[in-house]
Amino acid sequence: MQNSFFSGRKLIPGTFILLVLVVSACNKAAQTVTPSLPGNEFLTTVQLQLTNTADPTDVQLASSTQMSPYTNTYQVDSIYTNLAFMRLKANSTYSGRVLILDETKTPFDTVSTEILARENYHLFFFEPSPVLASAFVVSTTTTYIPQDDWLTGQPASDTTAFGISVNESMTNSAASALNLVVSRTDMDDNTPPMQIGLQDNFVTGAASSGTLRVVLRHQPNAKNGTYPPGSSDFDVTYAVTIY
Amino acid sequence: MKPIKILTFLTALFISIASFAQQKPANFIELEGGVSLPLGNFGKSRTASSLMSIKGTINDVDGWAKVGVFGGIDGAWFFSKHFGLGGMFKYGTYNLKGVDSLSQGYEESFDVDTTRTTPTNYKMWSIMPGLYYNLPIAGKFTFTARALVGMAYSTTPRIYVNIEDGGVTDPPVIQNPSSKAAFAFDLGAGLRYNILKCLSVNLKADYFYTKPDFTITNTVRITNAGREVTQYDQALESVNFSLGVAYQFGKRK
Repeated sequence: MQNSFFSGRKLIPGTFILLVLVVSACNKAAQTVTPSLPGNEFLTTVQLQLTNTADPTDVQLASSTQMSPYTNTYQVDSIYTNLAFMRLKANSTYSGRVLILDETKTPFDTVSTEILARENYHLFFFEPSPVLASAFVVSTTTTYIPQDDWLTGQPASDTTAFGISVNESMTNSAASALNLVVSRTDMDDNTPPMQIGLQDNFVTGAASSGTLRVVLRHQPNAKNGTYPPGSSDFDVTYAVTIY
Repeated sequence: MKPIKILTFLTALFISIASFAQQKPANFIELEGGVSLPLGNFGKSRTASSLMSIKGTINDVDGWAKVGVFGGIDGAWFFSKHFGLGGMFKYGTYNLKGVDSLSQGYEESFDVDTTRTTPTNYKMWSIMPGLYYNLPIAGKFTFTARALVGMAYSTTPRIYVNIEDGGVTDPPVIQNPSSKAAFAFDLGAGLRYNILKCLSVNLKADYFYTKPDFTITNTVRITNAGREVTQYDQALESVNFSLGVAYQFGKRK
């Protein structure tokens, strides 16, 4: 009986199959979920700093903040737009930069340097409104936001410094459009390089007024020059007057 | 007289061959299984901060291999008192260690809320013929050794990193598995204990080496950020500890 049991014909193949099954069963797929890290890209204030290229004394600083001007504290559910406006000269070119701050820190933290470091997956969009239909071209090199992502259904007033609605619109008439074209001037380290938008050119046309919506898209492993991928780090609107 | 001399010579030769044959170790076939400790860069991992890459990738030479398990079959035919020819067929796997760091490295590189990393494992098949050595030392104990040379077919893990940020699921980072066959060798020694005339157990330690030089593809890598491995040319070396059960032919009685 013993010799029969230990016969190689039965023992060896059977045990080998068992071994393979054991080795395979010992290796279940592991999964690790890494939770949020504290303090990621916290920001309180977004400023547009524009300098007229023909007149360096003409500097505009538009600021949208969640820091209360009364208590100088961060208000999670509030946005203060009393300084969120700019007055630009007609038919002029302004060099602009976006300054992002965390003013809860002393001295305040310039978040835009961190955005610059992480330029390969950040992209700024600028949407003038009302936008002239013939100028509105959505591409990987223009700063326009696709119509599907426009703000609509917002209150008719009181959301900006001048009580203008932030709802975005398009017009066929240059007379009723905000005559402003924004283009990005900085490039990232992707292959091929793509635009960022921390540095920009603001070119004005005839006198007009409206709003300018600025959105920073965070597009990890997704930045392709378009608006849809990723999520928004901030989404603010400024009142614009061209005179 | 002459035929008697020839007969005597042949008889003496037969007896000596028979005697020599009795001294040869039994041929065997053995099943073995055990653990494999990855060595060198193959068994190394990194901290999350050293994996952080916000503008381009890092050259990660670490294999992230955890202690693996394997099973195999080997056997040998002895042509002399100590030496024999044989071979081994082995299959083993290695899970990844430090997946927390790997995952957090991607999270910090992309500056996102959550990453969910799901890796598969390294898989390795090998078939290696070679030389076997056998030396009885005391009672039922025998010292064994082997030097094998052959081929190994290895597969790297698939690493799938799901990215979530701002309530949005972003395109995942996927490092695809890559397979390659390469030269391999195995040097080992062990101690065999004869339980029965036809059955023995063998405790062994082996050094295993192969260097496949993988080319790795990555799916959906749109931006230059986060760890991205496109080439893995490090040796997959390990020390393997195994226990084998051998059936020994010709020792039933």
